[in-house]
Amino acid sequence: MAYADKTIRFVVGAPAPAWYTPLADQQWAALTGGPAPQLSDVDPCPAANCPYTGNTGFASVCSSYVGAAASNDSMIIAFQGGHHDYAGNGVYEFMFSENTPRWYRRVDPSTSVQEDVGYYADGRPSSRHGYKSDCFIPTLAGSSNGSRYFTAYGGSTWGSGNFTTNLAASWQRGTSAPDPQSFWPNATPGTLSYDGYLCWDPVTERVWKRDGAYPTYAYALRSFDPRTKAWTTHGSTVAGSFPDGAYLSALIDPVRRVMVMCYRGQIVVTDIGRPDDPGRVYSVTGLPASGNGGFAYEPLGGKWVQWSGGSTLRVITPPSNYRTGDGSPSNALNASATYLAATINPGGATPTAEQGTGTHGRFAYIANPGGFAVVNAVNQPMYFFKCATAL
Amino acid sequence: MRVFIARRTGSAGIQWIGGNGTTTEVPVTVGAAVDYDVAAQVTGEASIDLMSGSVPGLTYDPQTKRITGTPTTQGSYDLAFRAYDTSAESDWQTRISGPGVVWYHNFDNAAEVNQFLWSSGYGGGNDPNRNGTGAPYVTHQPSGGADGGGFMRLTYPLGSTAGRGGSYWWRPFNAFTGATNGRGTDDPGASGAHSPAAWNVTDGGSTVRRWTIDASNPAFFGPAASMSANPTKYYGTDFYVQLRTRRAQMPGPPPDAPPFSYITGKSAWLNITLDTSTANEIVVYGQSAGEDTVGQQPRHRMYEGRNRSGGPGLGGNSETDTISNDDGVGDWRYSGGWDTLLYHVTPGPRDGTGANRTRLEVWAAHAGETSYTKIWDILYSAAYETAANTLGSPAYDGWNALILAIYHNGSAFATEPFNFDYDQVIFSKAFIACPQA
Repeated sequence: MAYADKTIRFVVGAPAPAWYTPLADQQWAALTGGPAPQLSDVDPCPAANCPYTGNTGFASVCSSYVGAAASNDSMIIAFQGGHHDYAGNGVYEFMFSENTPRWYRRVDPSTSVQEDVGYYADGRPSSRHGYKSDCFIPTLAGSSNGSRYFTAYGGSTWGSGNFTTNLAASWQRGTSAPDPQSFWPNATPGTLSYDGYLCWDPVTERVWKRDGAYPTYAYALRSFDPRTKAWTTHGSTVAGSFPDGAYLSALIDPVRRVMVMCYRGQIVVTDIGRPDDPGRVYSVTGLPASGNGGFAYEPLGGKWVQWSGGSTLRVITPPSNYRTGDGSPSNALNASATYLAATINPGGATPTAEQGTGTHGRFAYIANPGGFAVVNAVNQPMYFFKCATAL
Repeated sequence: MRVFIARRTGSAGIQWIGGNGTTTEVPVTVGAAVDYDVAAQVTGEASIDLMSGSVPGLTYDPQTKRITGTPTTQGSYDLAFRAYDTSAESDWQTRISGPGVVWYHNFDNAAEVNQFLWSSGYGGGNDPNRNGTGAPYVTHQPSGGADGGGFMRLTYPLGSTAGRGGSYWWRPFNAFTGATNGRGTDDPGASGAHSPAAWNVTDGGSTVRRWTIDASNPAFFGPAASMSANPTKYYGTDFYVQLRTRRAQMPGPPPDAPPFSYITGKSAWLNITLDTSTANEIVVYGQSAGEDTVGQQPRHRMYEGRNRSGGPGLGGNSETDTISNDDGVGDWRYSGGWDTLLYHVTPGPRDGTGANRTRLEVWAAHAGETSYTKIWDILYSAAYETAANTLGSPAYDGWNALILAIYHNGSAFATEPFNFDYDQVIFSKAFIACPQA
């Protein structure tokens, strides 16, 4: 009889907050209570008459191709806006682990803003379209560079809309100001526009970034070590093509060792364990053909979950033959694998429609307490899908 | 019959998500109920055992393959799981030609019982073939075995003083390893080439089965020089023997109500064969008479020793005759149902030192259990093979035969009856896991 071993590590976090326990499992809820259930509750300039207000004001923090990053127990939106929509570069954090979940404004926006720069004159990152340029770097053993919201580049920074920056920017949790530009001295290589996507990998403790094809980066794969602050360019490209654009979302499956980008009916699977192998493009039956939803990893069942407005979730169970051979990570991705998405329609509250400018990191899995969260607009609540059991 | 038959290595057909041997993190929180499906993390498995680790507040149920409960304490906890493949749940008959299994036998019908009886010249009172006087002490029972089918029963009536002897089953290694291995080779009922051997029950008598070691009948393990010079005449190193057995109560078949009887039963031993006066052996016994108290199930007491100059069988009298009782390995008791005993024998070379010596490990599993408890593990202080082989040409010393003994030591039981049931025997070059009831 053959056998095979596996270690399952239960990471038991702090007690679940009071609001979480009564929620029905695998149901949506709108987190409407408390002092700041909506981003607008922490708007630094409710009168919309500040130097950074721009054309569309604070609403841009969720609507201008805006990204976000999830920590273990929070969602962080930082330096978002850009173009002539909004020049504010504030940092906002929604805390799920508190007994009353709520938004906080962690960093006030700069009051002096300049167009088409990576950093404003006060040394703080400029407001930008974040897309999927950001992630959260957790606490790193032996390094003080962790516990940070991190964005590798900025698209369409405040100004003409044609300026992108390859300067990384970050904010350390618990502080009241962003890190200075000098904190990340090395420029980000590759795509600086909207068609690059990156995620944090807890296994290699690196940021992984897949470029788009525009203008010449040809889907290059990069990774970044926050300890050494150094980028590495790998040999992987993409076998096939996938849509460039501002609407993709991405996840890392730390168990299967892949980075997956999702856009409508397609996914691009990148083998971060074999970073010189080509990424594979797959059509996925069951994913919506339209919409600009989010995409996140569910760790209890090892599922890939897509959300695109409303209560519906589409759950991809990667096939057992997603790799060749016996399926172990030493084997290459299987170009013939078939991916299917199952649809579930949970009850409870119904989340609002996604932003037409993309959802990016504003749909995310929160570990403490366990579930999916999504926020679509500054004047809407955070929606939460409790996921105490595997999908 | 359903038996787990396992190989030590390999994981064909089983694939944990993310790779075998890797670690997967699962975030949970104190106070939040957990219902985690371990089986969803693996494909190709039939069963999943938790090998080690625990999480305060959570429990793993191997039947549902789920972890449930409510975590109570923050921290990081590793649970080590082992998944076994689907072959484990297939009928053992379909696995008999599977890798590692070189020979098996069960006792599902009367013909098998009779054909595998062993007395060519015995004819004593308990001659199962009824060549002598007295009752047929070895009988086939048509039902009630481990799988509900038949089995073999040894009985001995209270008060009988007739030879109540051992029943031996002698198998040279070639029978296990040759091209025609399996039931046909040394099964006289299947026109096997080798006849079974028998001895007098009390001291081994004068009948010695001699096997000439040649290319068709190689030794199993020998001194390095012999093995090097004659590589085709030796085969392998360690092996496993598994017995499904049900220990007796008194009177009648188990599992009847107490009181139980206390008997000796020899399950298996390994013997060297090429000498009229030399018989090295590893022995394992059941318990001796009168050791236990009424109301308790009998123990499987382990004995170890060697006996190489007192003639075949027990009762040797050489200076190295060191058969001894050792009850320092616990107090494993039969359940009254079909239990499993697994012997892992690693013959060592004569001049072996340290770990390179003969080793005997014994595991036991009660009926219904799916894992073994090790009840015996001994690394012998000296090698159990000798150069004193004088018969045959050429004479190669080494471990040359396996004797399975379905046996009781008559002299100790003049007044006590016994029942001792056997259902199956498997000899394997691979690990044999616990059968499922």
